[in-house]
Amino acid sequence: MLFYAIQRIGLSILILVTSMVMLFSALKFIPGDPATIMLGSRASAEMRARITQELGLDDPVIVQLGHFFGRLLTGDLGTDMWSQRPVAQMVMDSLPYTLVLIVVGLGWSAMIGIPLGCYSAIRRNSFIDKFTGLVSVGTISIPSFVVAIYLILIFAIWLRWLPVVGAGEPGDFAGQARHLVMPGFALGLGWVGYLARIVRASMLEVMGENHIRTARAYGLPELQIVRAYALRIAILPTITLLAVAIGGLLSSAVFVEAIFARPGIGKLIVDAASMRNFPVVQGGVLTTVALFALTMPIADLLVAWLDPRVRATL
Amino acid sequence: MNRRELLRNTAVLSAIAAMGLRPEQVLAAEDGVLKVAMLTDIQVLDPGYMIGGAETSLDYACLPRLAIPVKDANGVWGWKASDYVEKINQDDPTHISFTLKPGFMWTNNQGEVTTDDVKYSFERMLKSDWATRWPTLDRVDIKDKYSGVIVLKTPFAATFLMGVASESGSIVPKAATEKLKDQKFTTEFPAQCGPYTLVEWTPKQKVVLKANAEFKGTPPAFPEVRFINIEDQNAAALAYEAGEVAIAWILADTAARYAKKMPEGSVLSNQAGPFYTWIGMNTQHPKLKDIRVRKAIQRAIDVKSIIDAAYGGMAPIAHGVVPLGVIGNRKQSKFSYNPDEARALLKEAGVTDLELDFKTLNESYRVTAAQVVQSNLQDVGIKLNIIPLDSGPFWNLGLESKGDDWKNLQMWWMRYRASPDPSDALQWFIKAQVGVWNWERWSDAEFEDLWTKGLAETDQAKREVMYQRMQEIMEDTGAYVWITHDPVTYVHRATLVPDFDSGSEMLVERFKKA
Repeated sequence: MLFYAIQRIGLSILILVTSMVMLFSALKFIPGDPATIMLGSRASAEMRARITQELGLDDPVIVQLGHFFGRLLTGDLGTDMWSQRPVAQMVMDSLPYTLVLIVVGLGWSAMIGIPLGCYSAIRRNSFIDKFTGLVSVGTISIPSFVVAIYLILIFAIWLRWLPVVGAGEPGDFAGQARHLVMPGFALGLGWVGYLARIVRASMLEVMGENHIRTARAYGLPELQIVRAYALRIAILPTITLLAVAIGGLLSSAVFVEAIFARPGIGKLIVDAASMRNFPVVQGGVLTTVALFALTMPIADLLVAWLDPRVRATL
Repeated sequence: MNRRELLRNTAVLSAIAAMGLRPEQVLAAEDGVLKVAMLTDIQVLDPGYMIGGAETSLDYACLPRLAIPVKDANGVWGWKASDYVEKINQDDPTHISFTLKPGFMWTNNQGEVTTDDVKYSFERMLKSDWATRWPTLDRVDIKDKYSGVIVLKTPFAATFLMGVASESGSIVPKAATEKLKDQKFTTEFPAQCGPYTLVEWTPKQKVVLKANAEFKGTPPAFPEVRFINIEDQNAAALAYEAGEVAIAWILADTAARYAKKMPEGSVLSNQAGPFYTWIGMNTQHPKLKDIRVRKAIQRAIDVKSIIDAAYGGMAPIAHGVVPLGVIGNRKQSKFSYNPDEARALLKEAGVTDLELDFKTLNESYRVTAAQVVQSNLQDVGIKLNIIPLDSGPFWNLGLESKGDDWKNLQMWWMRYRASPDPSDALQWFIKAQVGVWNWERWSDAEFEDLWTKGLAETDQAKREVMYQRMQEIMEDTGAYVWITHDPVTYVHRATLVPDFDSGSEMLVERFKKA
């Protein structure tokens, strides 16, 4: 188990380094300098030269990477080229908003997707099962920004029940929760279908196993069999799926954050990339890759810990 | 949060929902707070290094100045003395004298606003990123604590509109700024002295201004203003409709939709805006070298259709580069949409099977406009390939310092913004700008001469004639199809009377309640 954990963490570090090498190489070839993009014709040649020099954009990629990782060892992700704020601080300001949004989004998808999947498996080939299948495919194919716009129209503009802009005031839990309802739902809806499908498939497999037949033979109520004996095993593959979902939700969050004007790391990176604010792009991407690279081994280790069958293969 | 708090919050939310109360109504208890949509977060508040947008609004609201921009009865931009001065006067073409009112105090115990601050603030602009706003400033002479003279090296007619009465005329606290690294500041004022003070900035969320109790000038109408960061204009419109902001800058298609069915209790406010949009042609490209071809294209493009398709019919047709409300704005062009004349010109030039590339920033309204141009040119036998580009490669297209793209540049859609003086709009088309921002790559001796004379001329009537003629020369090159001066449209509550600067940025300290 320990060797497995070291192996997984080592792989994550390799992913991190590789992705940063790719990012630096890509940034080198992106056309357009920051001053011109931000200021258009107002950007003088002196300004362009100064910013290029300040960012070290004339240096070879290998030198830029060396500086980046050198600074990283001291916890320094660089400085925003315009506001001069430390990138690490900008990332840490944004990251919690995205993480909370993802957790709420996953919460919505789990809350809807898992019962749907269970119900479909129990009522296999019934009308409800087929209808659930249709709903699952539907939720997978509707982009989160479309869901977001309809939610805003219904709950913010027509009914005026929920706020549409921002993340709420710090310390105001109720306000922050209200600000999370729609963005979380818009983000999580797409994963309802995936979860429902995987839970259904997994449940069908488990429901055919000997211990379930035994439980039935003992005359246990169906609900108890599903909850206590089938779902506990069938839920395991969803842990891996949820870890994968975090990566997907990190990218979908950008649209949701833009529509609901929420701060977040996805939006931070996209805004910075469009302005060629390279230090922020680098710091933001490093953090999200690290987040994703860490999530996967954690999920694998969790599955191994929960499932003795997996543990036995390590 | 503990279990009790969770239960309490859940109960409160349930009660609100059960009573049918809307969150907006709960929020409305914050009386006197004006919420405005802010399209870009602040990054640099320093007037010497700012980027624009809300930074402009905050500089006006929180820093002192000698003069403020105002529109006259004809909608032309001018200036008047600010609350901070007893008098300000142009004594002769190169000397502007001023006397500050005593008693305007900086925050952070930085003392009184004095001539020393004015001298420091204006002279530091010469070394700043916005030095072009003060092209002929020599120095500021100090007479005493409150009086001084701004001395210009040569006369410059736009000293007030581009310098003194603009965001570039913001006065910063000398002592506090000198202590900063590189004597610059970004998102925090070293000290403030305005109708408002910036009290809170939550990155990517909001900026909070509170009325400055120590301010000796006209007090603002709202005790608190919150700039809510909503970077997408469609999202800003949704936030407005949901009642979460009282004013928002909206897109042209949203404005067109509102014009048909206005949200309840709302008003549209159309500002002339600082923008000028045109279709440019590279006069040195082999396919466009013949002026008859360029003139044919000028006449083949139906600008009215572009305005209808890309701007929902909500933008004026332009006839030059000088924006509306600025001296030199043209009311008529020498050409108009005439496909027959275009075909005749092409025939005269002996051009058949012409195929051109049209480059534009990849924004939906620009691509829509490009499609109209494509259709128009197809009518006269020209095939147009639309090439949408990301901002990076687009802004490099005509820069000789950025490679060879300029050699292949043929036609493009361009938008610039200008200060409220014609010289600012026309500066990009002089000979020295060929290969920089004069992507059309032409020069003209008369144009150069007028450019030099226009900068020094102080008689506005003469300047009007000069700048009109300069745009006529530009038009005669055949390299320009004038499109529009993109209006800046705000939607706001009917109970609010907003005010704006020449760049259409909100001047919240001048907002009133209807």
